[in-house]
Amino acid sequence: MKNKILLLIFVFFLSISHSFAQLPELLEPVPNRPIELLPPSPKVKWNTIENGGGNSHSLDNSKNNSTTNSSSVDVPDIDNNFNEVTQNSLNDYKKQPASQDAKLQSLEFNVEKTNALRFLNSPCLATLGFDPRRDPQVQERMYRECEDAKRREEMEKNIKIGLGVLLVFGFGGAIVYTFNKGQKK
Amino acid sequence: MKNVFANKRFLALLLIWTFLNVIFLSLSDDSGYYKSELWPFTTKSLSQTYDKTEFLLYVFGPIVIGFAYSLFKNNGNEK
Repeated sequence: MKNKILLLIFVFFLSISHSFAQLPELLEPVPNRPIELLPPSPKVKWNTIENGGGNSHSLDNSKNNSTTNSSSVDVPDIDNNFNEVTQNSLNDYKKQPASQDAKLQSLEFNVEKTNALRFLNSPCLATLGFDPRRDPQVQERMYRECEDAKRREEMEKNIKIGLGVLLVFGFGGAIVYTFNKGQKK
Repeated sequence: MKNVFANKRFLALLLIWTFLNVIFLSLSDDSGYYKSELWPFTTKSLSQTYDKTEFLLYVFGPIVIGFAYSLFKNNGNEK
């Protein structure tokens, strides 16, 4: 009888072993790696152009001659949660004249030098984005920090799943076992 | 069947397990979006996924399995 119980315990622990195998890594302290943020960029001014009922917007420094009823409006501050580096990249893009849009769309960069494939294949691409003009070291640090956080989150989820499985199968197995024990009597 | 109800260990375990599941059910979010997912085999939390389906499966599942197993075994003994 003891052997059966031991076998059951062994099977339960085997089923959740993949989760517990990650425990040491989870308990490891995260190295303190400060992120170097780029200096804040100045506010961008926009010109609102009203063309026959419809409102459209163009950049302040664009060479648009069709300005009618134009008035400058300050862009409201972007939420603090928004990634600052991405915000700066966006501001840089906004500051470009309209004529340079085409140039920005076909930006050429060295894949090996910028280590682009490493960033484009990262699960943090959707969160941090990729800009070849960023400092590769800063970008690498940002990605590593984000990936560490994601890995940690995933490990915590796996452990929770493991504990849930242990609870369900533990109680289920015990109920089935005692049910049959009662029948034998 | 009488033996089952006379088995106090079984009843105690069943009572604790049912009580736990009732707590889980009461903790679960009614307006959950992930109710179709089966806890704990999902990355979503217990409150997001736990509903009547899990309750029925986990409370009555072990009883049904135990009963089926005992029937299967008794049939073998009769022969």
